[in-house]
Amino acid sequence: MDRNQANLLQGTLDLLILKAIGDDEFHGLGISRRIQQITRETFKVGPGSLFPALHRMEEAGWLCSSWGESENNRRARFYRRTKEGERQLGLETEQWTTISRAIAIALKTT
Amino acid sequence: MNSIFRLRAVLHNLLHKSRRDHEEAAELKTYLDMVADELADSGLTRLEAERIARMNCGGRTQLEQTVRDLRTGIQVVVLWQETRIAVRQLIKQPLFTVAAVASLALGMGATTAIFTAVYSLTLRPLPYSHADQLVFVSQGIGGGKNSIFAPDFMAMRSGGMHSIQQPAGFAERPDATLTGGSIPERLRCVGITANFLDTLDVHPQLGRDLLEADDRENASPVVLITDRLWQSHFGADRRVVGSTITLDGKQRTVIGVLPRGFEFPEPSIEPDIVLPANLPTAADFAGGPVAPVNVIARMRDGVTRAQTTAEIRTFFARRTQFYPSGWAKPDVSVDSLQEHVAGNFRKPLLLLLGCIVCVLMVVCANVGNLQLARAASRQHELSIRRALGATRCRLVQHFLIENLLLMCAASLLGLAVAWGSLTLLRDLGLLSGRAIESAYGAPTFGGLFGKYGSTIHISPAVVSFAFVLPLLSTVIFGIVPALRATDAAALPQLQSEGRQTTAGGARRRFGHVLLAFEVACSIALLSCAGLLIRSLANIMSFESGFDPGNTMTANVRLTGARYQRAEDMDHFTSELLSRLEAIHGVQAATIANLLPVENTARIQFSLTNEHNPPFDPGHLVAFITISPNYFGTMRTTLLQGRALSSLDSRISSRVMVVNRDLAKRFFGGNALGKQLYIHDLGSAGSHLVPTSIVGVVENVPHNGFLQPIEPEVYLPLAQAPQPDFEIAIRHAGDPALLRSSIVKAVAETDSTIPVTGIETMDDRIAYRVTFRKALLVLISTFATLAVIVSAIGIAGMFAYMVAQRTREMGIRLALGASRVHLLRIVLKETWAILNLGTTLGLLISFASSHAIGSMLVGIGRHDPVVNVSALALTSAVAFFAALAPAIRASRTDVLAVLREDSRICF
Repeated sequence: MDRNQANLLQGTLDLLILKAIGDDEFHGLGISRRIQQITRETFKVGPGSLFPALHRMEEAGWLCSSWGESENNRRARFYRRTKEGERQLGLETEQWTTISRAIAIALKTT
Repeated sequence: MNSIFRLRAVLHNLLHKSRRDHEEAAELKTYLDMVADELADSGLTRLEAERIARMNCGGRTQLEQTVRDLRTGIQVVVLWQETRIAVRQLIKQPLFTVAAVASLALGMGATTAIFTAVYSLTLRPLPYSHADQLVFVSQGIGGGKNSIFAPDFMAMRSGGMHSIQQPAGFAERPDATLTGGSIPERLRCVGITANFLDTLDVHPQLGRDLLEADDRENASPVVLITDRLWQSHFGADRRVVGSTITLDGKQRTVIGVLPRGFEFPEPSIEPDIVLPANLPTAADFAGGPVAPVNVIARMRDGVTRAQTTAEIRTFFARRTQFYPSGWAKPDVSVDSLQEHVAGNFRKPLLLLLGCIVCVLMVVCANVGNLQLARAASRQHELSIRRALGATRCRLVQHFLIENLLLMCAASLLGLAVAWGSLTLLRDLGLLSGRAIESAYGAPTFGGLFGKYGSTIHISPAVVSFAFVLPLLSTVIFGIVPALRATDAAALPQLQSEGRQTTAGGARRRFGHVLLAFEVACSIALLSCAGLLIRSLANIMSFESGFDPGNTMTANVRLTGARYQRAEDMDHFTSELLSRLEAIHGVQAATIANLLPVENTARIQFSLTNEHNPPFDPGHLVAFITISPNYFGTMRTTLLQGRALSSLDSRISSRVMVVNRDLAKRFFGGNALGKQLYIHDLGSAGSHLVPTSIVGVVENVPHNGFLQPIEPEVYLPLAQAPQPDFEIAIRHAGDPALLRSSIVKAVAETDSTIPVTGIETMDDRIAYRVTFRKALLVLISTFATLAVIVSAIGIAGMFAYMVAQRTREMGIRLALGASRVHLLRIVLKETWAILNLGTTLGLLISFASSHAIGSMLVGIGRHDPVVNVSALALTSAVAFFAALAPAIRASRTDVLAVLREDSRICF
């Protein structure tokens, strides 16, 4: 996923991150890998988009973070969804469903 | 909830900034390590894995910066950082900083000081409640604004106006002498109608207000005293209310004391005591002269001034049917009371403000130019910051903060400058109420602003002005240089040597516009100063018709029961005259009701033998009653006939001397032996008596230098005795000794009579032009300042430009350009600036000339001589300012330049 795509899908990235984290907690690379996995390799989120997004969302109160040990024994920062984040996920999911349905209909119309 | 969360986040980010920095860096590092781990697991060497990880990540510093910029409250951090950087930058260049702040402080200080005067005198609400509802009604007869006729006022009061509450009036009253103390004291009086204080919503601090019952012809005489008199004369004794005082020999009961700080709403009057106006109550014009009255009124709630004006105009239009035939319809105007009070100062002050703002803009433009030049020399620094991830917005912010810092420092200093200069002016007594030394001190309003001078201080409004000023200056003069300096296209690439051959065209053009603007302001200011200088010269060289040198003057007023009859006054004046003439060193002495450049009194006259014509304000002639040696003392030339002599006594036939203007206007220059019918001031009757013209004298501008000469008549003092008169003594001795001799002469004649206002004729005249002179000095100073500052700006700019273009010049020389050609290149740019500047300057001075028009004397608004000299002076200064850098450019050392260049080329 290159930079242009990132700009294009700015709103989507938040949704993906919130979805990817789920009720679990992940560090940055974990989130990146998880997005890759759940989108079947369609989206690859590099650090240039990921970290600004994570920090923005944390400032917005959707995520909270804590330091912990990674599987490879590296000190990493782990992100969790907050209540606020859950609500945001619901909101954005709804929005996205509406949009995608509308676009699907629009594309089907001949 | 959300805002509290945000605030906490901001505080957290601010307080734990270094921890956040550290954490973010660590997080990114972990990320890279983890990616490297994965790559290493897939079989790469550790080193290779780390390299690829870093490469895929992109610019790490920039990423860190991007993440930092997302922090809540980062703006505060950035602001703080940029401020620190700006302070450091400014401290590092003390010469620039000091020069910029000092010049800005001077400009801002002067602007603030003048704004203080403008605010205090024209914008400050008057000290009455709901002062914006108060209006002043006046009528224009033959230009100017005059008081209303008492009959009209009476009709207004009973007329049931809708837009205003009942109008109130005040009328000037002669000074009164208060006796009963150790020495007689001269008091300033004013007559007011009973509802006057009510209309202003001012109430006595002690005792009671005037009642309608007090303001009647046969009411027992009462008086209100001001707090000032109460403190100074009555020792703030509360028992003064109800006591009686003796004024001009008559007993009056004190009924109240006006509140402390009460300001009378008329620039020329600040009374010690207030009397009932006792106006004639008739609403028609039948018989006799008409009393004048100044009218104020309070508009009802929600009524606009336009409505009030319309109603009052309609009312006066209907009143014309009551006027005697031949009277013109009055041109009534309704001003806010504040406009009336500020009236005389408004235009000159606004002109001054305009001029100083011009100077300030020149200074700001110069600082803007300096900033541009500095930005050019800081390109390398800017490119580095850019490369490290600073956005253009942040760089612009940096420049604006730097500018704002300079401006704020200057504004603070400027406020101090303003405060200091106002204090100095007040201490020197230039602002207000210089009490002119007199035997029995009644204050006279001297100074620049008369009685309102004391209201000029630095108020909160002024302080907020001083804070808005730097913001505005930064917005106007800081933004464009900041944008230009951070223009991405203009910033050199990091890998280049960081030096352009020639500064970018656009940036230079902007600098040129700034300089042209400075030139334009200088021209406009110089033109303005030039017009005022020529006006003052015209005033001073005015054909005055008299010689004010070596003349001492004083004022005497006969009061009390002793001087009720004409014979008694006559006796006093002749005795005083002989005593004055006996003073050592006195060449001539005279007594007159008025001396030149005071306003004259007017008297009804007729050319035909009408016994009792209706009163007509258009048929008045100025009169001066004089003792025999008047023309000799004033050195006024007698053109025809004879002067008045001691033979023209109370009982001899009525005679007069007229001025040249009257003789020419009414008698075609042949006035000797003709007759004019005027009121006989020596008898009580109101009918006109024939008076023969025995002499014609040269015109004297009695009404002041700025007024056109009017027809005037001189009457013998003996035939028209006046209780209030002036002494004029032409002498060869020391004026200081003369002072005491005058007091002694008056005291010897009658010790109960006060003498006031002893001053030289020159001082009297100088006082009339004090304000004008001050205005002139200030504007000339401003203009000089503007010229100097713009010259410095031009010199600096070109010096800098030439230094920057040394390489270009060297190469041009090497390619065969002559040195004259180089000189021409630089001067051509000056020429372009001057072209734009002079055009703009002339446009500005033409556009603004109506602001100064009314202050000019004997000169048009568009004086080609003034405009051309301003233009020539500014152009010459600008040209010479650019000449030195141009010569330096032409002396460029080719070899040195090429040698320096070779390091780069080869």
